[in-house]
Amino acid sequence: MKRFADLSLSIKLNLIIMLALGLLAMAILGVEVVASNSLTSELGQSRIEQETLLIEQRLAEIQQSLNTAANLFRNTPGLVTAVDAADLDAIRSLTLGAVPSLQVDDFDVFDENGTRLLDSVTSTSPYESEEAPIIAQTLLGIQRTTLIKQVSGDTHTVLLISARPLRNNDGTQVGGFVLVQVLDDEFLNGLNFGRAGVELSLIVDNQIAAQSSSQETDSSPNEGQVFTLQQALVDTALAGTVAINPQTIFSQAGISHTEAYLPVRGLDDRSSTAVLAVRVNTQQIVAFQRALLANSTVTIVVLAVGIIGLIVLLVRSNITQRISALQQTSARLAQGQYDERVTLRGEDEIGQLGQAFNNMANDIQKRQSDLESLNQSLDQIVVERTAELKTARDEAVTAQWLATESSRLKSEFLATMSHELRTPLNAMIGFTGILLMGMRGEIDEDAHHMIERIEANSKRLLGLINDVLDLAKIEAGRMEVVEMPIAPRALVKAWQNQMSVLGTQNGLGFEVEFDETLPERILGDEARLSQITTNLLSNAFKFTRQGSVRLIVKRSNDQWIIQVTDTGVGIPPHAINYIFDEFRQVDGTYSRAYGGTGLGLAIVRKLARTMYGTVQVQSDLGVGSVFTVTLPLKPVNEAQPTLA
Amino acid sequence: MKFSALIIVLISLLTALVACAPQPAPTPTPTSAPPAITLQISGSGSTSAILTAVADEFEAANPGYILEVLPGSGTGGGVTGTIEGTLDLAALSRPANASETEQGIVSVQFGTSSTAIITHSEVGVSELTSEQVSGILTGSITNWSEVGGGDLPITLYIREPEEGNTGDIRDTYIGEAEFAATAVVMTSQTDMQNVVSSVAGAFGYATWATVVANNANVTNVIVDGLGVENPPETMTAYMGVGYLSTRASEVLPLVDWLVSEDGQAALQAIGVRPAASE
Repeated sequence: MKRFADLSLSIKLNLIIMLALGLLAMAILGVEVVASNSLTSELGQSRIEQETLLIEQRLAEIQQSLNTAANLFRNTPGLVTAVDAADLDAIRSLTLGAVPSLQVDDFDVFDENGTRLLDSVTSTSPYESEEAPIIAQTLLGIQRTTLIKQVSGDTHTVLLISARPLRNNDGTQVGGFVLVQVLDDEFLNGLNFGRAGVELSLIVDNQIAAQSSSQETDSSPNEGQVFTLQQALVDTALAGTVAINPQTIFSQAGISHTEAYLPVRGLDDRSSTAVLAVRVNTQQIVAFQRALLANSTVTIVVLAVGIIGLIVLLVRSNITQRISALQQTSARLAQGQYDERVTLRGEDEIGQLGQAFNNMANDIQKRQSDLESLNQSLDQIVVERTAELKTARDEAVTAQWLATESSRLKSEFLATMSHELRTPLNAMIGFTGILLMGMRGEIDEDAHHMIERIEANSKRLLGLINDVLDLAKIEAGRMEVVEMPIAPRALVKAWQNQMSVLGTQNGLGFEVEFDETLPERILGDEARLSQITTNLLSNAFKFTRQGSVRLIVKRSNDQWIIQVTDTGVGIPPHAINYIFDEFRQVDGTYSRAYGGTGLGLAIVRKLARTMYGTVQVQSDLGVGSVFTVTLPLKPVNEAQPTLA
Repeated sequence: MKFSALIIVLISLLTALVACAPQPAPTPTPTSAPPAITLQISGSGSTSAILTAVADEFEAANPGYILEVLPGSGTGGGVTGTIEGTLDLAALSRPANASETEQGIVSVQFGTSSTAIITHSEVGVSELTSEQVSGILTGSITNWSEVGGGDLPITLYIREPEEGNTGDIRDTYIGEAEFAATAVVMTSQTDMQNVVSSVAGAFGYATWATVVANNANVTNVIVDGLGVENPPETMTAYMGVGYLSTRASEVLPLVDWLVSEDGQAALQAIGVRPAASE
């Protein structure tokens, strides 16, 4: 089954309307069923109450008229005389003429001894035995209208008897008479006015003694057995109170009745002798109720269907069709048909929704168009920027190549030039050496001094050219570092021998420490290591006026360290950052005071880096400096030959 | 909410509606009541009237008994009926005599009645002398103006000669003298009270307790200063019941109740004087 939430709006609305109206119709029908049931019940009860009153009244009237008739006979002139004289003809003429109009079943006249003088029924009254005690009481002077039971085998009969004594003028009793009415079927029919639809049953000792005939009785002779006696109600009636059965009862044929039980007693009786069951056929009321229910059900159903149809049409034209139009338009809009608009009549919420939707569609269309034009201009900008970027990159590549090439050309030029410069300088130094040694004869002191100046400046220029040449070689990529087995101990010893002369010349101490844990032989470039160490040591001697210079060579894990410590002038903090740059000393005054090209430390750093090492400096101005070169330690296999 | 749930609710509602339709009701189980015992009593009119007045209270105190008082037989008739078996008890205005006792009748007194002179309530004469009463009864006085009342003819009503009340009146006021020829004989206490209360100028007599019991609208005339509160000896009468000793067990509930505290209270409430005061 499809879930309710998944159904279309129109089906949902229609179902809800049908459900609501269906429930309403059923509620109305339910109320009507209950109300009509209650009405039927009330009508039935009301009808049985009326019947009960009517029958009670009728029963009293019949007794009263019998009583009146008895009083009339008692006071009939001549009757007392006739009875006293036992004049049967006179008695007959005075009484029997009245019998038919009285509708009595028996009229007995008796003398003072109780001997019957007249019996209207037969020569032998069928009621003799029942009448006897009444007659005996009458002879005592008792006059009464009473009911007595007559039981003969299974047959129960009830007699209504009105008895009167007859007295002469001096009050002497001369006899009496009884008027008898049998409460038989015929009596009940009379009591019932012979109507159909109302049934009377006389109940004596819980037996049906008589019953009125009715249409139903005629068609089913055992009608009396159809209803079950309500014993409790019978007892209530016997106790003297009318008992109405609050429930509807049904005959075997299924016909509904209401019933009541009336006490039946004589005018002068204190207790009930019998009970009269009164049953009223309520089939007509039930039929009326059913017709009413059927008619109203049809009316309600037709009305409900009509109203449902009308509401469905109204909902369809006013709500679902318009929402459907909105939904279809939005679907087309979603597919890109931005010029779609919905047309909804009316200014209600749906109309306003349509208006808002159209406004939204206008916005979307406008933004879409803006977006497209923006996209186009963006594409243009991207193309332009890409072209510019390409140009710039090409220029940068070209500039970089030019810069690299020019640097290389510069270094190459410098290397070539240094070599060309060194050759004449060597010739000049060689020849001034010859002159100073006096190999070309004696020269005077002034000339000697001048030649010494020439030699010193030539050597200084040569040193400068050597340094520039080294630097140039390094930058031009022509400095080659070789890795050959060397003996560090021997190397340090050589450095000590070579540099101790500077200490001696300047009056400074020169201490050398060698770490014995260093391997006997390691791989390295002896010439470049010597260049680094002699550069640092000559700087240390150069910038130290007093104290000492110390060279420490030691191992640190898989590295080894060459450390030069001096007690010289030190380096100001701001200069630490550029002392390794080319042609830089701390300032111009140093250069002039201490000499040097300013290339030494630059060469040291470039060489160290070429050998994958580092150079660090620590310095306190006026206290001294510590230069530390750290290099990777590469021990040599013993099998390899050594050069040093 | 699922649609199927709605369908179920609808079906339930329909079922409930169908259940509201009229249906045959089950029949209650029958029960039966014990049969009632009816005691038939007749005899003295005044005593019968008193017994009728207290019959409801007797029946309430003795469930299952019905007291049926049959009017008009006189004490003698009542006793005869009782001896013959036509009646269960006799209502007595005198004790059973020797002959009746011999035949097995037991008499029990339950109170004393007084015979009261009664007039129509608008006569306007409340006191008379015994001479005046005697004159009215014998027909020498025929208009109320003769005894201090308005100009209104006196209508005389009497009871049967054998009635106890009639005997009392004779003994007290007229002896063997004849009642006025215009006197109308009434055959019951009720008839007497009805006629005196309804006929202007009416004069009669009745057992006072029955007047109280019937709530009759009549006036009790004080004669020589004596009324129902202090009746002359000759105007009071025995009230009792008689029964055959052989049927004592059947009738004793009534006899016992009449002399019981409850019974006496009920009797005195309607003006019966207790037997002990005799």
